[in-house]
Amino acid sequence: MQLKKLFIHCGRRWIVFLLLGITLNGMAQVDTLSDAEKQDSLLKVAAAQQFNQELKRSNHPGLSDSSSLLTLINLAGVKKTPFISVQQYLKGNAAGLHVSEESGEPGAEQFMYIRGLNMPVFNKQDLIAQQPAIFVNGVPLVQENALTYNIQRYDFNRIGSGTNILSTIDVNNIEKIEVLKSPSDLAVLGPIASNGAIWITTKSAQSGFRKINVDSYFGVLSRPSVYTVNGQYEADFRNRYYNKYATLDQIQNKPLYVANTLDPNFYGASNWGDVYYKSKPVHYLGLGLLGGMDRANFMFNISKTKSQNFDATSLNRYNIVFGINMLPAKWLTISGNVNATRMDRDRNHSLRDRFAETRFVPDLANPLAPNVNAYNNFLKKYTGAVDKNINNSFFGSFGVRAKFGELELNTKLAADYEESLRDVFYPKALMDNNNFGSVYTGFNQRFSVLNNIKYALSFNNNAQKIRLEAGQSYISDFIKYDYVVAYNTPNDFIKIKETYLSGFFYNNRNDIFGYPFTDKTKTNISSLYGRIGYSFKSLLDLDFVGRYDGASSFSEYARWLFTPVASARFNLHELVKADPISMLVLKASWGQFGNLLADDRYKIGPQYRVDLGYGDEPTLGSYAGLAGISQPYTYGWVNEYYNWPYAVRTNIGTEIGLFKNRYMIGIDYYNNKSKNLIAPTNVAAENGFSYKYVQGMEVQNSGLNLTFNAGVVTGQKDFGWNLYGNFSWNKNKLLKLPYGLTSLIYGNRKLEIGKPVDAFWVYENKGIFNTAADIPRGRLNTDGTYDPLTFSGMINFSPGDANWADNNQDGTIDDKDKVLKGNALPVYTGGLGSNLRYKRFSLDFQFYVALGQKLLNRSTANKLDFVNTENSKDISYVKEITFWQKTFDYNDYPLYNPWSSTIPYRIDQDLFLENAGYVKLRTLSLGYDLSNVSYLAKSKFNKALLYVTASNLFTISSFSGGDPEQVDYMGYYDGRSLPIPKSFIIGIKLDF
Amino acid sequence: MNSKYLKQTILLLFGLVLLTTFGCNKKLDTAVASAEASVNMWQSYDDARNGLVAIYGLSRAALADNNGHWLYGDLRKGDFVATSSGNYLDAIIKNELNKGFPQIKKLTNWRRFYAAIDACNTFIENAQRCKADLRYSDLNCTVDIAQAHMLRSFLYFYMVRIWGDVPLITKATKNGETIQVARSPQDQVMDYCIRELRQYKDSLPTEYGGDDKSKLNYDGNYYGQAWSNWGNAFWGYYQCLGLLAQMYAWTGDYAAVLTTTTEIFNNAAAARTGLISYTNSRGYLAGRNSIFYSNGIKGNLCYQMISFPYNMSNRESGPSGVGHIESLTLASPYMVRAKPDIYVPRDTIARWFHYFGDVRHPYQSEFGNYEEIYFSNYFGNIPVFTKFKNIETGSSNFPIFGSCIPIFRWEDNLLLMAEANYALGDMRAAFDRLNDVREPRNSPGFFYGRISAVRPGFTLQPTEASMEGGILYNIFRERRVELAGEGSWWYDQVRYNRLARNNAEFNKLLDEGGIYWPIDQDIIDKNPLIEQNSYWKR
Repeated sequence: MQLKKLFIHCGRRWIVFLLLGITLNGMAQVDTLSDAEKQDSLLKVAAAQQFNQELKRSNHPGLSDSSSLLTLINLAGVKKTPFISVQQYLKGNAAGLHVSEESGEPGAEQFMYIRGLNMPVFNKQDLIAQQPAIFVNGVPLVQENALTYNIQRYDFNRIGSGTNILSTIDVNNIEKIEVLKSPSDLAVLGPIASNGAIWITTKSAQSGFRKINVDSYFGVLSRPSVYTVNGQYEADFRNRYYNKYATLDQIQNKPLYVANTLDPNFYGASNWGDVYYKSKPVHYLGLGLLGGMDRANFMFNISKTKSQNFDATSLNRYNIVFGINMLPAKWLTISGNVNATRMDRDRNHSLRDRFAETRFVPDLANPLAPNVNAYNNFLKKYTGAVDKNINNSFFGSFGVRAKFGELELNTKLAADYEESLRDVFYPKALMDNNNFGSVYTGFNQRFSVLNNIKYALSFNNNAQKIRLEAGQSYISDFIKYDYVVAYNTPNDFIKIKETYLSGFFYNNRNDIFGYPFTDKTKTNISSLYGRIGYSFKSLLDLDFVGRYDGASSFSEYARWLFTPVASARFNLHELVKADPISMLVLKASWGQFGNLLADDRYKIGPQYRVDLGYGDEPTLGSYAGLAGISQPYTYGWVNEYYNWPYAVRTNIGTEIGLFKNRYMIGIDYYNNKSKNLIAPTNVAAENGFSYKYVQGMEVQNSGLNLTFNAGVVTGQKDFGWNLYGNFSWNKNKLLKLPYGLTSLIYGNRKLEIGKPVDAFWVYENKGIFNTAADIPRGRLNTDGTYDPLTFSGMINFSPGDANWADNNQDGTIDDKDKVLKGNALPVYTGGLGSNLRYKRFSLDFQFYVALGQKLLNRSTANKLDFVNTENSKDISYVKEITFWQKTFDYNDYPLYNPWSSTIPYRIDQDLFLENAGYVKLRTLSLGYDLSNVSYLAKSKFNKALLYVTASNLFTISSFSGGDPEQVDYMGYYDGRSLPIPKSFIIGIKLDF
Repeated sequence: MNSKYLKQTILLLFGLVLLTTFGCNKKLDTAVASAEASVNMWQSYDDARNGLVAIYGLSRAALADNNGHWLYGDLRKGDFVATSSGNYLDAIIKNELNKGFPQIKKLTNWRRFYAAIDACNTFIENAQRCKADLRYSDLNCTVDIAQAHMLRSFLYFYMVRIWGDVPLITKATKNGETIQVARSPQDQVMDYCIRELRQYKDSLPTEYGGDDKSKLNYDGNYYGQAWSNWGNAFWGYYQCLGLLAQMYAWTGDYAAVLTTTTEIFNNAAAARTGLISYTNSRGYLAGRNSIFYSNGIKGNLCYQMISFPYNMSNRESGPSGVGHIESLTLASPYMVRAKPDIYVPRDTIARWFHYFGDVRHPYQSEFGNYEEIYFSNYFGNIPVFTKFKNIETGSSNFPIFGSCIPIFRWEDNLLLMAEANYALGDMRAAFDRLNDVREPRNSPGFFYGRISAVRPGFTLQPTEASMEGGILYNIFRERRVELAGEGSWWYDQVRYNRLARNNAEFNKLLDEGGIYWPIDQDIIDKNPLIEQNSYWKR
């Protein structure tokens, strides 16, 4: 009883409760209330219910809100999986959303695309710029930024912890997620949501009885089946080429690790996988508490997650969520919530990633050996290494709503602080007797104020209604990082820069080489919007939104943009009361949306900056010890000013519900045109600039989104079956380029009007020239003779070379013969899920489909092109330990002369373009509810679900080289990333 | 609490929030930390300094990118051999520049040169405006603009040697309007360069931040620092003459070469440079802190007259090593790498030297042993070319290198004089200048013995081997050894073969334009006025 009283007391004075930190009191299960108290609380039920209704109302601000039935993500299955990031929760679960997960490493970056690519992706910056906005409880979280890529030589990983900041949200705290993509849904969210939005509502506090829930799972990963190989395999593979093509000189230059058959490390057992693919346990423990009175309530959740993958990678997440709601007066609601997360991450031992950070490429003559002893020796070199990756995240909001009759006022204040820390030290053994240290401190912070005022007018006995709304918001982002890399400390024990006393002065130890970097950027967005809505009975809704946004990423002459959105919704079922049809909606919306520019370089126009570096030393910024500034020749010319790029979006859709909405289907057709985009146009190299950034590119995405939900069996006590799914088709097309250009080349990408922006640009492979007679003639000369066919106009083809199509028939194989083929992003995506309940058993599964995309198999190309990759200093050729596995059958490829100057195994040909479509069974979960088991029933569990879940059980794909999902953002398959593991967990969910 | 007032308070609060945010336009003026708008540039002393530094830095980047200086200048048909045959270095050495290696493709692109040229053009057109800042004196401005002219000429000269005809652009880009210019005949480009240098040489001091011996009399600190800080970072009057000498030699105007080189020769003290003496030879040419290191200052001289240095007291070098020849040539024991990328094979070394007492010879007779001067691991399969081993912090093998990109030095000048004397028929003077270089290296002279300047009473007599091949051959043999790894041997070979014309294969290259590099297809695609070099057009 003492405990009980204490608990009730605490419930009332929740602040005291928190401050005292006796959070564990929640675990002390409190039994039912005494009769008198029950009576008392019953009296309050009515008030509480009203309060709960009030709280539930806060939903996404779409113009017509009944569509949420179809935008809601089914989380029933996801909550029983070991997934940790928002991207993972959503993958395959929402129409029009594609999630790309390149690496299975826990905490690694993942990217989302809503309704296709809004602009071509040439680099990571472009990718980050088109990520959807994430709203938690109506507040936009700060976005990842691309600032650090400016100083990175390679963009495989971002410097710093590199942890996916959307791993901070524990799925067990989420009440619901919606994916917003239509103009009507996004209208009042403004330019930050121009790429679509993920609308997350966390579990809210509810008045009523206290509820405690405990969630936990424990699981293991299963080791992938990998066919490991050793030096013999590599020698067999290479000897085919040596026997056929090599000169004596080339044979003598055979790398030692292939040639020396006596080396046990390379020619012994290839059992590195025993260490690399060691199975690791994952676990989760979460504890939640809901409770409160009729006028004030709270929710509290604390959880610890450990996610693991092979190669000793892991992520620990500690998460605390706290939320309150108060109703000080009938017309006033005050609510607040806080989400605090700390994540620390153990990263992989990839050589490439390490070299990319250290910017130092050691002698690579010998790769890692496939023998486990050799591999263990390599891992031993990490002794004394430091690799700390910490993310601290804190976001919270505070909201007030006042309601006076039909007038409603809302205000929200929110802050988001995402901190990324990385501390690295690599000892001498790893760094060719050098050592390396780096420290990174970076943060992204956002402060937002969101206000709106709403008023509704009714006419003709509520038959007609006019809704008025005005809103204003101010969002302020500040992003900053400090990064120091240092080399060559005196020994592995001294990890920081020493100073020493010399005479009367402190001096620095000179032998440490430190390079400091820092950068920061501030972006502020101020918005105003007005909205007028008209409703006729419940038959017709018309809405019009006009908004005016100003963003600091534009010059002051082009800072403000007015964009309109109009939307109509026609509830046909109100007119036609045909029996099985419970819902029949026709809807259409159209609108313009301003796109923010992620990079602040465009706002100041022509500019000067530090640009003294070169290819391998991009950050070198001084000469003679002085910083020099010049025009940005390497990046490219920046014009005087840029207007807002904007998107024109149209959405036409229908929603059909049958049998009291037991069967529901939603179909949307969309046509989005992103206009006025900035494109890097070519300039004559004699101007000194790499590119010139010009506005006027236009990209179109059109397609269909289909969502359905079928309550196949409902209303029965022992049996229930719900089937849900989505299917999307997206067609991407480049409509326009600046200056009326028809095509544009940037690096290894080409854009062509009418073609998708994610197409691969490749030579068409027609086989092999076995003999000189196979080689077609080249250009016809005026005297009737023919030149030989050449590659790039400079090299004659010889037998053993690849036969590439001379598409323009000019007798020369060059870039002009390359064609655009395929898409890097899926054309069709979908998901199919099911929740089946039979008595106390439940069975959930979810399939995920992505079809129509292709990948360029760089993994295979690099292996076949061994002559050129062997001694290259290019770190993308570095052989990881995973090099020692069989990922393709070399007999499937023509036997070209790898020494040929034409580089027959070059990656940019359709020989390596493969279908990357796949179907995956993402989760399969079997649960059993123990709550009514007689022994446990005494404990009054509302729910006691015991479940087992298998994730990523199988993949069906025509791609044989590995997991076709694990391609990089350009559509290249490297085969380097850690697999998305098959995992098995056993878990329990208790509610009491 | 009285709820009536609460209501009003809340309303008031809303009103306030709305009001404050309406005034947000000002809040949208956020500063950009990493760039400055062009309209704010060229207004102060600091702008002038930053802009001047940038033209040097961009020029250095053009030469350093992909180790271009050595890949263009040392490798083709030269003495270096690629460790792994069939790679891009091997292809360059064999003059197979049409091979499809991405590294070669990068080297055929001249964009970085034009970036530096555009920066020079911009500087020339705008530096005057900085005089609005009173700290920026007329003299300072004159000197800086002259440097920009000099660097621009140098870059054109450098490009002419690589590609032959190049577009001659002498106006800065304006407002991003892109211009397309066809290639100008190289004679015209060289004329322009030489004219520019002759025009601006008298606007350059003999040294920066010190005692200027020129008519300008620009004494005192330069940008706040003394000569002891700048070293060879900024180029002055004698640097200008050095470039002129190289340009005259390339165009074959040997009379002018002789006048120019002679002026340098007669003014060693004013040029703050000199000959590396016998005693200093080993340490200065091939030490761990040689004349190529950092700002090049040794005592009170800069032996490396013209270079693009890396200021090592400011850690101006990065861990990739690119931009320093060491990244190509060094290996164990100087850095942890079994083999270098390129090396000079033993039999070539044997052909280099005609006397084992030469201080640059792998065998050091003075010590009676093989020493690591120009070479180490001499008896291994792959001798390591260790002339350049300016590894930062002598004790470790951390591959941060401090070597500059060398362009010109005293010995180069002497040998150019010898070459000019030969071309003009003054053989005795040619012998003299050749012997000026050979004597301090303890290398037998040509035709006559020379009494040593540093070692009294010591005379090394010429041998048959030291004269083998004649004077012209020996002048260039000396260049090949003395200036090895300084990015000049390819151009030397071109000049030698132009004079000698005794090598049918090379004559073919000379006659058919094979001495030039192909031009990147990207450049041709972006500017249709550019035509591929005919030799590479098949």
